[in-house]
Amino acid sequence: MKREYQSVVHYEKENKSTLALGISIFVFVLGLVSALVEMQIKWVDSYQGWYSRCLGICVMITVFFTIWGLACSYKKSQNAIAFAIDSNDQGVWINSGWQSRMIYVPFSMLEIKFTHGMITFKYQKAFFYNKKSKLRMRSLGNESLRVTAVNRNELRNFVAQFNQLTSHDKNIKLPQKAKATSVLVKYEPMFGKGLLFTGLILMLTLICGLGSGSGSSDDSNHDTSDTGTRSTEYIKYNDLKFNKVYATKKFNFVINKGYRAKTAQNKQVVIFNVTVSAKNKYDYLDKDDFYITTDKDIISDGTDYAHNPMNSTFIMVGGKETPVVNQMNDDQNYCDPAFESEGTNKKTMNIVFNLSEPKKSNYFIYSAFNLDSEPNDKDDDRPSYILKFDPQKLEALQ
Amino acid sequence: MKRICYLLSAVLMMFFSIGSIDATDVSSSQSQVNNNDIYAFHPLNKVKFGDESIEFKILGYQYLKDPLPSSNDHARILLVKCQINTDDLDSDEAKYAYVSNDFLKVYDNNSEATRINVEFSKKRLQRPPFNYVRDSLSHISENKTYEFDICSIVYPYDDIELKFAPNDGSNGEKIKIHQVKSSNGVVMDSQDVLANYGQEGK
Repeated sequence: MKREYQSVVHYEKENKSTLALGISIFVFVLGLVSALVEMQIKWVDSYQGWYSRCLGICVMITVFFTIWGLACSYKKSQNAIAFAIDSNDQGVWINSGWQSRMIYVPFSMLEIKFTHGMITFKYQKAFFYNKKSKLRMRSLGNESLRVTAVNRNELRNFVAQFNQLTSHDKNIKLPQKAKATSVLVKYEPMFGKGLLFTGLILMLTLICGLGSGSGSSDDSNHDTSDTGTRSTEYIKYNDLKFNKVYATKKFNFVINKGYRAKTAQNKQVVIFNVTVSAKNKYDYLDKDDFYITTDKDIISDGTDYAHNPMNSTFIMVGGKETPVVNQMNDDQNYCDPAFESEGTNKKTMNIVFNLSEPKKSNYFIYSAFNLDSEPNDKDDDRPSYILKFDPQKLEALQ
Repeated sequence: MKRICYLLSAVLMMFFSIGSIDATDVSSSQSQVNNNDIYAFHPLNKVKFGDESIEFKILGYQYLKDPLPSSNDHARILLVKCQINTDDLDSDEAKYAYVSNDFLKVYDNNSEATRINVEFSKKRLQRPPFNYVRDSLSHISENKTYEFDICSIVYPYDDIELKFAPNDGSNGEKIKIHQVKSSNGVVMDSQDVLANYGQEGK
């Protein structure tokens, strides 16, 4: 059994419009899945976050198969052999889909059928050479491909020769060529553009969601991008971004800037300049609801390894000791952004933390309830935000 | 395709361009403390009339270096010296006249500062440097002047503002005692009157 072919049938080269349609479908599927995932993450009401993880896996599988399909399509368009008759007139070589391996099927074990525009090779046994060129057998299977995917003239020759070499009961008949102007083909360019446009719009929806509508106070617009752990209704796990609205039930937070600095005692500190606006007049912001930590398992550990902001801090700037102005401190009333003075319900303040591990990724946290559980009271503010940042990337005040 | 690019660019630009702008109240009067005499008395002499013809006067304010209001080394007591004058009050009005300490409010970074009355014992407030710290004034007589001091806990280098509103209305006068000048919002610039607070004010 040698790999010598006759009446070879090659794959037809894919034309440009087919490739364009393929790319359009890819963009559409990616956009659709992304938008669905975003919506599902918003709706999901599971502390465990398993649902969003499953969705993430589904997205990865979809993307993988789409890319694989396109790659296969590209590979097959490189004029590869689809099938051929063996040079000793005893069987057929077929390009088997999964590993693009040529398998040999003797005529006696083969049945060829044309149905619904597909050519199907159904076999009882097939033989092939493995990577070490050793002969192996595969039993009972079939291979299918579109009639239009192969060269029609070569197919016609193949059918003629196949019919000559096989008995009357195995003979096959090449179906009439399908009408060139089917509805889909006729409107294919428009169909492709439509898919591409819809896909782009859906992906834009996702980008908008990730952008959290900076400037918008709408709850539905806040960030749901997951940095690898989990994102739930009660806990948002994000990368810290400046000038972006982090919305909770009671407040909108905007972290305007972040700095590194040293105190006179040579302790490293991080300073966040934060603007808080209260949504209701009597909502009170507690300093103890803010934390910093390097603990990656903050959600399961709770705040055991996290610490609260520092009180009135003096830092070294230009060799002089200088106070951090408008710092969030322990004093009563200080943290009330809905203050009664007329005209505004927001205040800008500096929240200062001791930076115990400046070389590691740190997490800036706002949480009005215990992170290792769910909010107990309906009045507890939610969601909590766990915002990852790299202290080394912050501007240093010195 | 071009249209899609333009649409995408426009939407992205919108997201990146929106920022927050903090408006500053420019209508308030200014009477700022400066670095050289942070613990000195700063006269103000503001007068307003409340209900029942009672005259309220802010004589001035000063930060107290001692005593400290709490264990926090950087918190200070802001003592505002006020006077209540009843020259225009008639005897019938005097029967029902009552003054509480809310004719003056102190704000530290836009939040109302804690009153010292809560933190200190009454006995302590009767000893110097305190003289006339009160929660309220009742049994008022006509043709008299009462001293009425208000003490609050503040951080002098923050934005500190008084609101003088004897009628407890929203039209009270705002008096800025310290308005932070800062380019980064974190530390004072050299133009700030308290720029050297770290060396001299502590």
